Amino acid sequence: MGQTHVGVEHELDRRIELVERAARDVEPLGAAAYVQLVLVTIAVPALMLIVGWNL
Amino acid sequence: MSAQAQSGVEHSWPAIPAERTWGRLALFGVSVSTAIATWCFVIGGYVSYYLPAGMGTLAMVAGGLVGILMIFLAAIPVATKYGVDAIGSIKPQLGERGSYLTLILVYFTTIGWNTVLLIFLGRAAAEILIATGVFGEGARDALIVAFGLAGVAIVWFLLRKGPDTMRNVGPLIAVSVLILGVWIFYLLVKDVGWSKLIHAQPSAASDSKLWNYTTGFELLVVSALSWWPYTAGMVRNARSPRTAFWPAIIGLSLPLSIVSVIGLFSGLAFPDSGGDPTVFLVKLGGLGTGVIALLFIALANIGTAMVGVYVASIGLRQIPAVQRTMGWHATVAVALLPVAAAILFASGYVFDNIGTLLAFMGVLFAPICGMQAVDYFVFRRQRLDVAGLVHHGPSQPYHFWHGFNPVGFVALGVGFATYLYLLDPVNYTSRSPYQYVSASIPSFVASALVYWVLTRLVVIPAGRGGYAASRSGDRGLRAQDTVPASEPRPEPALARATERG
Repeated sequence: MGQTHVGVEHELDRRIELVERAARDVEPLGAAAYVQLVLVTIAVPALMLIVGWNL
Repeated sequence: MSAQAQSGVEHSWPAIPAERTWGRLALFGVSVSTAIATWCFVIGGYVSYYLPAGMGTLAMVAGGLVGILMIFLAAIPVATKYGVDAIGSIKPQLGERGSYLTLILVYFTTIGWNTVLLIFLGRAAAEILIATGVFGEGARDALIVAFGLAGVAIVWFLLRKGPDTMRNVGPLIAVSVLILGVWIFYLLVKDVGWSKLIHAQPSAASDSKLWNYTTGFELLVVSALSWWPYTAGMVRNARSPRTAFWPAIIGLSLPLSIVSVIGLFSGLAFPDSGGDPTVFLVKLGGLGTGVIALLFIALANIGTAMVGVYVASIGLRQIPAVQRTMGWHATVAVALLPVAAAILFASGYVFDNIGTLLAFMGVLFAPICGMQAVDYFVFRRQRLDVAGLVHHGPSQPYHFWHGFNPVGFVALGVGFATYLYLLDPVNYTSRSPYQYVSASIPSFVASALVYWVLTRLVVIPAGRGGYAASRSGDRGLRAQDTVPASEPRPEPALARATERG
């Protein structure tokens, strides 16, 4: 909208560079986070299902 | 938000850091406001066909959490790291053209949900006008359609400014619906009685206790899976997976389960309602209270529909022709048009078949999640080629074979078939071992396994898919380095002119 093809390409190239740079700086989730994830989304539901079955 | 940043979030391009302005609180607010849409009442109503209050409550909370695990593994690390939406995030698995399949799926599922929400809005508004004597019972269907269409217009108006409206309005709506849910629960306990609610029996339970239990669990797994297109669209506005971790897990799963539990209790107390509070609120709370609660419902549905239409709109903008020729306002209108048509011509049919819509979410999204998780964590080692997510052409890493990755489609097909073998989503008939393993979990696992095996045996040896770059860890290795000799390599300048996505 109002942007030329060259303008769009330039914006896209700039965007790719910025996202690549930002992605390099992103710290991935550590092992502790994945342990928490497993506890909350597997262990806790399993426990709930066992309790519910025995109600 | 600056005009430049505005243009970014209204395109399907990866969002740059300046555009990712959502902190934990904003993301939590939007997640909650998305999750606790009034469709949760109906989901709980479905569970009330099979399970009593105690078992149903635990099965539903457990199902919500397991569904969110699948969504998390598929969408959150990639969307927060690269700022991509759901369609963009699946290019590395299905190919740059193959990803259009999910565009179609996302488009139709968000149309389905938005139609349900805005019909719900219409039902609430119609109930208010009929209960207050403004219109007679005979005007109900016309009122539902008229207010549903008014909802379409309001959503379009509110989305003119992009996702900022969602962020600003989301938390308010979330709080409103939570208050509504607590209020409905209070009315149920006060008027129906705790003991009666706890001991109420499900209205359509099968003879097998295990089958009923698994089905209650499965219904919430698929409900959570239906956040797949929504989740990436939301969390890409946050800057890191750490920011999105708890807001997404808790914000999407627990509110869904809690409000669905209220729907379960409602369905047990009023079996004919199927959990839909618009049917019984005036009867339960009296005219004044009922009308206020119905107004809450109408408001809440506007908020959730906004998120759905935003996701459908940025998905549409993955189509190069749409991106080039259509402005943001027009794209939102295109995303809303089928919703308006469904409200106008098929509102009763859509609302009566929400259970089937839900089950299809599991059919579609469980295998997608399985495939994405194994690709991103095992093969890509959490690294993608950003340019490959945007540009199309033989020199790009996610071009595979003519823009399609057949292995992704085979994995999806196996996942679909696994689900359909275990559970028929139309009439809810099942085959063993469904009662022991449900349908979504095996579908997720089957798709992941097939993708893992075939990628190792076919795609990586063929040098397709940019896996060499991901495995070498050389972030500077561009896609051209991995293009097989059999593919023509366009001249760089020509390629840049012709490959823009």
